[in-house]
Amino acid sequence: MKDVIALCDANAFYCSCEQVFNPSLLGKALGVLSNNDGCIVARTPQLKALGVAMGTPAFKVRDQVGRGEIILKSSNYALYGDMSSRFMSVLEQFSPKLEVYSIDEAFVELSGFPLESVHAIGLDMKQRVFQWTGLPIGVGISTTKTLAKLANYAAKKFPATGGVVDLTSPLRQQRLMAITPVGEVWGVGRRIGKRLEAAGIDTAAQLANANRRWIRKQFSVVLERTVCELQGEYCIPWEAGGSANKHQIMCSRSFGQRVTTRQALHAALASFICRACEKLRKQQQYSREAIIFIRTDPFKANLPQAGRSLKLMVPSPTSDSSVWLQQLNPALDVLFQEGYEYKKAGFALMDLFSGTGFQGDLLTSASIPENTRMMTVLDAINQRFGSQTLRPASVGFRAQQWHMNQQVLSPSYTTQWPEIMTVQT
Amino acid sequence: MKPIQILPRPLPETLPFYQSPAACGFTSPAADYLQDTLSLDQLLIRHPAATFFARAQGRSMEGAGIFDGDILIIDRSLTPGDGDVILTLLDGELIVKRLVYCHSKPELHSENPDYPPVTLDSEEGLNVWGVVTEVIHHLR
Repeated sequence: MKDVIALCDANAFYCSCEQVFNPSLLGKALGVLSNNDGCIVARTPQLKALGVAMGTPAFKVRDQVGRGEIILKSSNYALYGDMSSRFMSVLEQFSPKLEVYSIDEAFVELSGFPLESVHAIGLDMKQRVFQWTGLPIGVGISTTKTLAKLANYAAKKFPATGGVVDLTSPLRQQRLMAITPVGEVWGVGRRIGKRLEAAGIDTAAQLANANRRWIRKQFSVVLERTVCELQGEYCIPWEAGGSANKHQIMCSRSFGQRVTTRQALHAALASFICRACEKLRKQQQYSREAIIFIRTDPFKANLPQAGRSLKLMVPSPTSDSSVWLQQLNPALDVLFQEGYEYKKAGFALMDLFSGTGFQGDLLTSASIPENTRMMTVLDAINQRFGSQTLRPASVGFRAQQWHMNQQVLSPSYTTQWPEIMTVQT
Repeated sequence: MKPIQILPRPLPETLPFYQSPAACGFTSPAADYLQDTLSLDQLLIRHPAATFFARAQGRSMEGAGIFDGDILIIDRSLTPGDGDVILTLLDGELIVKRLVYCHSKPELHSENPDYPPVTLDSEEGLNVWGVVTEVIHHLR
């Protein structure tokens, strides 16, 4: 039986999330900015039509924003993360086998359905994701992941497809590949695309017909796999457990302004520790190992550079923020050096344990410590009254200089009670 | 062929809190009867992935039991029908109204005599965001 795979991805995902809760943004030239409001990382078709490229720095479109022709939003990852998990759980209704490929796209296995029905299933997916979440998506269906990606590209590129392309037939595969530039093939980056073109391979069809041995010798075994996949041979394995818990939790930020004092770094790191431990408690895990780091801005070559990281250990696995906060001062004694402008800091929890399967050690109490009730209460209060309502004093009392620049941030409509949308009756 | 229907994920539940160290006398006679505590999510949310919350502002739906400041539970997965209270897009704004079909033309009715209904030209003029299924009204 032939494998059938659908690649579903949300159109201009970050922008679409903003539009679901703020319909006045529909049809507008809208862009979402990267961390610290640096550059544009998501664009609506209307913004693309104005010729604004991906990665354009926010200041370059300042005049158009001032005139109201372009609207920019800070990235609201609390919102996008929640909308992403809603999107994925709607897709799970169609097939138990789902590979979450990124925040806004997933492969869905549809093997077993008759080929003549897969187009209708694709339409159903698109319709249901839109009804349940408000997110517009494109669906590409074919027999390998690379071809499914190609089908999805066609669904986006050609509006007449209605956003769903069934590319299971070899004849249609060949016709599409003949008009697809090689650079659009999944796994062919810009650099490899240029080299392929130099070797006379301009289209996906030419790549599909290239000599595999030559491709492996000249390029890589990875690109050879791409060629096989274009020929309809299923090679790229299924990555299971898209929803599995992560093995590491990292909280780091580039600062809005350069940070020079130990006190400010302490406040920033304290807040990262709290955030990381909160995530850890949410996935009901524990850790006893962490990495902490601070560094200056490597792009400011004229300034003195410094950067250090440190591994921290605690005696037994914990998810209690205060245990790590106690380590912070001794850690900064080692990390912090006077006289540098720090740009970034971070805290990562490593080697995560689940509640089960931990081997206690001889000297400390054998079991995993109870999640202290204080932490449970803290999480409940912050869930109800807003993130960081209740926080350790070390995090500080007011907006600090290390905070991200998020001047045009939308509310966390789906994750914070005080920020849910207001509607007129 | 219809796609397989997979049941929605189990709702987040509160787990019962119990500690009964083995060496501490009699176990509680209730231990065998321990059940999950009641969850409001379970009662009020049928489709978690499609459920959203909003705060109502205004007095036009008081007849339907929606008062200024109430929290609305909105289920986007439901297909709106005649008589449903819906959140809908009208002139670029999200508003809460009751959907009523009059001679198969959709109308948006308020539940307060001070507000007249809005008649829409056709089904296409109706842009429903979601169906309001529950209202949370704080008494103090």
